[in-house]
Amino acid sequence: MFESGAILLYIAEKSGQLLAADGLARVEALKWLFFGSSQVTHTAMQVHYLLGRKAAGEPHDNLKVYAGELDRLYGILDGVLASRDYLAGAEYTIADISAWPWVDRHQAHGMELAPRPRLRDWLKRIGDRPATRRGTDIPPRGD
Amino acid sequence: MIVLYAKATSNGRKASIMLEETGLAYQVRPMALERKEQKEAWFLEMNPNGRIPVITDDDGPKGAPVTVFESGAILIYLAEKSGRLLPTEPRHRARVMQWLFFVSTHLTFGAMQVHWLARLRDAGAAHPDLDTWQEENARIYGVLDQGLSDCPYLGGDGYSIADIAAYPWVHRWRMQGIDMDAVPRLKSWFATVGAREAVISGLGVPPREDGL
Repeated sequence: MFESGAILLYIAEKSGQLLAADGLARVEALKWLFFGSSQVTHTAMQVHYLLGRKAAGEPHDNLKVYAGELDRLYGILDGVLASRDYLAGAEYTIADISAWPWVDRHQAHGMELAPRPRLRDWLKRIGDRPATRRGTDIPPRGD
Repeated sequence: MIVLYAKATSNGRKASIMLEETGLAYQVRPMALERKEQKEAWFLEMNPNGRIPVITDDDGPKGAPVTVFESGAILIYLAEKSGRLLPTEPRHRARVMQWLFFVSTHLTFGAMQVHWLARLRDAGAAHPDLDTWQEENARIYGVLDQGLSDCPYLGGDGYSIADIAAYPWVHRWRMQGIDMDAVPRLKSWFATVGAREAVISGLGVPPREDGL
């Protein structure tokens, strides 16, 4: 199978981990899984791509639009984390995994986390997980 | 009772078609996007992203009220509530999820970029990268056509929420400048899905006057 969001759901349901089988917790995780997989992923990818074009001296007309949109999405993530430790509630879920690797590239994307302290704490909380540390370097990259 | 907050846009129609397919009782609260009603505080409390569709269900999981945003999450929620259009057998389910995410991310954003930039063009404004996005969107249509090479529906032999997520965007193929003859399997799928009663009725929820 392909599509990272579908892979997350598949592995969660196969393992019985990181996604509640039912109840409100499951719905909340699905909402933020799609938010991470569609809004955050698509927007951060455009910023990433257009910053690359800018660095290469190529046209990058819509960079400001996408950077503004990414900033708005960071604000939404910071806002939901005001009342909870993880995107879907008290528990770490696949919704966090869908958004984390993109937010982890905030510096490369020119995003400031200082005005988003809850998002900054969430980034660290998840980044400190041994599985996150192992997973970010699979497969190993030289740079 | 389920309440659907939407306009009959491509994303709104994913939810309205699914509600029509399941036969679940629901009411519609039409949203005036031209007045930016979706950015008002009462709506942002339901969806901080300020986008439609949103549903509320006062008989949610274990009888508790629930609010759902993101059309893909709404499709899964309604499928699991009704026991319809999302297989439980893991192999078949994985295929449906794969295409549900493909259309919720690639098709939705590719087509949305084309719509946005084509509107800028039609208004005489700058529309950088319209050609690039039209090419990307046409590529995505090709991937869907390929996905239908060995089965009648995106998720396999049976109609599913993956088809519902794709149909409303493909419905707008003319505006996206797509040559449907270049994707014959998708063209045939489009006719089959478009003939479903629930799809026809769902496209008109809530009614829109411009015929789009």
